[in-house]
Amino acid sequence: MIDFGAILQGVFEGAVQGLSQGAHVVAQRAKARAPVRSVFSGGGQGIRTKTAGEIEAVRSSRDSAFKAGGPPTVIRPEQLGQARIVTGKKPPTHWRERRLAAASKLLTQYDVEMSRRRAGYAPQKTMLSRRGAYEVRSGRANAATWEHLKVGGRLRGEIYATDPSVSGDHAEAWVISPTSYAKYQEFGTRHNAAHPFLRPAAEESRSEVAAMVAEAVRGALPHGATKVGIEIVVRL
Amino acid sequence: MATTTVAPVKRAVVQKLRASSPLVAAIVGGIHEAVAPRKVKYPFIVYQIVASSYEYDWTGMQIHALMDVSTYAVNPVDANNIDALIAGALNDAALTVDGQTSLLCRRVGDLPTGPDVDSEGKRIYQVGGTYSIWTDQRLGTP
Repeated sequence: MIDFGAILQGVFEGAVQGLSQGAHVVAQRAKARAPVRSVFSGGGQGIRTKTAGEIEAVRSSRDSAFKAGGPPTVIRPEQLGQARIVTGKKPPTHWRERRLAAASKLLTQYDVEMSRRRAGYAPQKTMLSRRGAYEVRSGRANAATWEHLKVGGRLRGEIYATDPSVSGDHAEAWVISPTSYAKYQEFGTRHNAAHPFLRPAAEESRSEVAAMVAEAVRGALPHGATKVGIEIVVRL
Repeated sequence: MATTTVAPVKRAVVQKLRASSPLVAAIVGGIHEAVAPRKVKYPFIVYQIVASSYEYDWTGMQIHALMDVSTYAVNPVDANNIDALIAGALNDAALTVDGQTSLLCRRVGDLPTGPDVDSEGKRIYQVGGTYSIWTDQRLGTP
């Protein structure tokens, strides 16, 4: 005798599992689309992939460092001309400085440099951009997310997907951006154009989420069940 | 035949809004894309494409676009009235899109936005909605 109740229960659990995976896909897409203001001077993350010529230029030293068990090469943009190899197990100093604990240090360095410039000294590089200094000073850039304690990237770092909540034959999962100014970015204001990131992520993932749920349901079906008609509604 | 993008869809939406004379009479500040200049008078309309995905089949392509259309006004009654006029003009409207056939233009949600304060300290009300717009176009033979 076939226990249809057990089969349906298995199918529903499979769908919930697929939904959970789908919600994480949407969250990842939302993170990739979330606007992140450049806080540090020097552009982007201050790190870029080396060109083929730069890699060739340091081939011998890289080989020796790698044979000695060294980590991958990391080069700061201002040092690219010198193509220096950074070895050792600790991350580069400028990465550590981007942690939340160093926010005041970054700001102090910026303020000192600005005082020097006002006094007529030749300008030197600062870690923070002018906008970044404002963001750190106002506390907006000091992000204590559950990913890292760091400066900058708060909106992106706080996006998360909830586990599916089940109520009867209905399951839903949420992708949430809890940052206070997320809605201003998503919907825009009088002063700033919108930079939507949640809704485009949901739109882009629509077919992928439906496919994930379908695949999970297929996996949950008993072996030999090849033709089954089930209606699954995925609303995003 | 070259495919067309979401740009004609935006033009069609603006044309449809401008074709509504009560709406044109109500918006002193005009219609703007993404953000309005600083000294524009209230009330005005801002529209922006949120997402637009392309769905291909063997013979054609559909554009599924989401568009936010918001009204900014100094009092909530004006904002809500203009938003109702926008909904009346766009909801289930047959858009005239260059190179594309309009399949759907429907309001699918309201924007959960509250009052804001502008650079002169005035309280500004933002009321609007999200519209789902689907169009279809034939693909040429390669």
